[in-house]
Amino acid sequence: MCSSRPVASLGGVITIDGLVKRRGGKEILAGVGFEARPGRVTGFLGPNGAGKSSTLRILLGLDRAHSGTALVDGVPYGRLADPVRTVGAVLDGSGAHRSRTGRAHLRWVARSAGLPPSRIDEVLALVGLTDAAGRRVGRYSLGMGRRLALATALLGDPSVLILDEPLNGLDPEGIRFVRTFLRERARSGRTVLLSSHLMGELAETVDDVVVIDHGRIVARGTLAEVTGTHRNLEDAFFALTSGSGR
Amino acid sequence: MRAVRAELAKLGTLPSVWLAAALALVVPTGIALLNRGVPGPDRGYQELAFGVMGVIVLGVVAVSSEYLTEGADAGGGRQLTTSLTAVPSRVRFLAAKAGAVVLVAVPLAFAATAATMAIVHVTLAERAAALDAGRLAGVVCYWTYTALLAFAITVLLRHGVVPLTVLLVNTSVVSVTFLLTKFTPLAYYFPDMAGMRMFVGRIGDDGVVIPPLLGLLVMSAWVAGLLVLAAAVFTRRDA
Amino acid sequence: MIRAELSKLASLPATWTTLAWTLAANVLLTFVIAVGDTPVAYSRAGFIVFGVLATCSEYTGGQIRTTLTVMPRRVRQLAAKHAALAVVTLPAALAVALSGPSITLAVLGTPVDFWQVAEVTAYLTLLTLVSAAVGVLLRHTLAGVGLLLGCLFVAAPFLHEYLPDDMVTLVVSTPVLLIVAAVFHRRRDA
Repeated sequence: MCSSRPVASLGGVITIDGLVKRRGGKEILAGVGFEARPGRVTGFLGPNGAGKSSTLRILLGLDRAHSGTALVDGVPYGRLADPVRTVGAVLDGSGAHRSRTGRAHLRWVARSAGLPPSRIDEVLALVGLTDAAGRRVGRYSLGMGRRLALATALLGDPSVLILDEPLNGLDPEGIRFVRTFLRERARSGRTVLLSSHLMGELAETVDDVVVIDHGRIVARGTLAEVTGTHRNLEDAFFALTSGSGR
Repeated sequence: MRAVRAELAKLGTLPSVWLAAALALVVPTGIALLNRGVPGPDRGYQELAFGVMGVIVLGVVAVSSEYLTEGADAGGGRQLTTSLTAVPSRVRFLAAKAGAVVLVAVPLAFAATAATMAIVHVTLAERAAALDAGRLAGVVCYWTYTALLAFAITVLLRHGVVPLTVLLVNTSVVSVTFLLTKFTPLAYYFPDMAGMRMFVGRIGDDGVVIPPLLGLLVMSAWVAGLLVLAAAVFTRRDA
Repeated sequence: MIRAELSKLASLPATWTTLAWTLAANVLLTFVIAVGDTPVAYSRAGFIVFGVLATCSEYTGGQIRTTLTVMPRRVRQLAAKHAALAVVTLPAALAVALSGPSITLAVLGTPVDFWQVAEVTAYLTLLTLVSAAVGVLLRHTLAGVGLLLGCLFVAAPFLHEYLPDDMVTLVVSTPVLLIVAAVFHRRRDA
């Protein structure tokens, strides 16, 4: 619709252009646009309430924009031929019903995409939930819920991973795991887009940075470009967002 | 008292409580309007007996809202955790909540009774039964007790769907408890069947006659028993 | 997609408890009422709860976000959910519809009216689908259950003379509500 750029054959390009979203008369997104490319980890940074989650929710077809487009491989999310194998998403919480077991949650997602049941054990092992798979999600700790969400996102081994504040609620070991894991995904040619308000945690993980504040993109480029003359990404971030809260 | 005020504030800010209030007024008056022109000794009182839906909803949501995990981003956080860290004494917390429910239910019952009786007297004029202070007090008492019953059962079950279903189905014209009376006369001593005696003269074919005062006692016993049980269970289990 | 929705329904403990309690209550009430009259009027409540739970359970723990990211075509997803619900409900409704008459047959020797059993089964299934649609619209289990029970058990008996036959009302309202639910489900932010 808007992307005139040819799409890479490997796939996994995220193109967001001119997103506007109003809620209750307030403009929470005012023309947000950026791109996330395969083989790179793109960090989507901004203070709380800047519009990160709204942008990701629109990208995933959960919310609608008043105008603008958010495309994966040139199509809106809702028209992807095989969403589970194309995009994996980790939003806040576990994304699972509390009275289901972790395994039962993964089973229905796998069925929706016709994935073999063996994938369930693979992703459970990958995130380290094998032992907790038979327990109800309501009994999970915060970190376990996040791991289940990650396992869900990885079921279809998608070419794009979208994560909203993936480090929230994780212990140091979990943070380390996610960081290395995301780097590996990018190295294998996949696209990783993650949002965060934690600058320090991100600097070592991301290749590209997009900074949003009050519903507007205030900077985008490679990590080096955005950091620019500032001492580090954190300083650059506060300079860009004029320290408007965390 | 501060705890009661906090509980009142919680109730006042729950949309479902306002819905409950609206139901409490609309249901009995609506039934009274539909039944207009049919005189009888229990006109008005019967409508109020069937119209308790509002206070049932009130009693249920007062508790179930504490346990709610539905909604956009609740994410497993229950309000109850906050409540119990603010008011750590479980008995005080429960008493404050029950007190708040009573403080909302009583005026609602008064308003609903006044509105329903007004409609009955306007539509039936001189054919309407004369007002009787004792019976009217019975209505207010029945409504308040019903709210507390819903409250206590929801505390026991920690979930609103079952008590709401059972109690609402039971406000149907031919209630389940009434059906049970055909099976055993003991069913006349269910809280609703006994409580209605405070203001409704005849129930069905009346196998057993319970005077209003006994009705009051029976229902009081049920409510007190369930509240004590709810408190006992609530203080013993993990939040 | 239907398999995914079936899998969801089957792995929800509430599905089995609701249906089991409904059947148990139905059997119990049949014994209590004993003669002729079926207790299905009351068992309707169980099917209402089941229908509302089927759709409102999506909103527990943010599961709806997972559902819509793995099945972004919302109308199809909702259709799959209703189809799965019908698959689970039909046998349950048949069991409930049969339980009353078969007990009466065993105790009193009254023959089973199979036409009536079929009608009751269809009625309960449609009612479950309507409840699910209401659940989609309200996204709140208690509100959905309260509204439907209020309509059926409190309002309907008094509105009887103004309404057509129960079955007719249901046959008309089911497609209407399903379409309205689908339109809202498609349009609104998750």
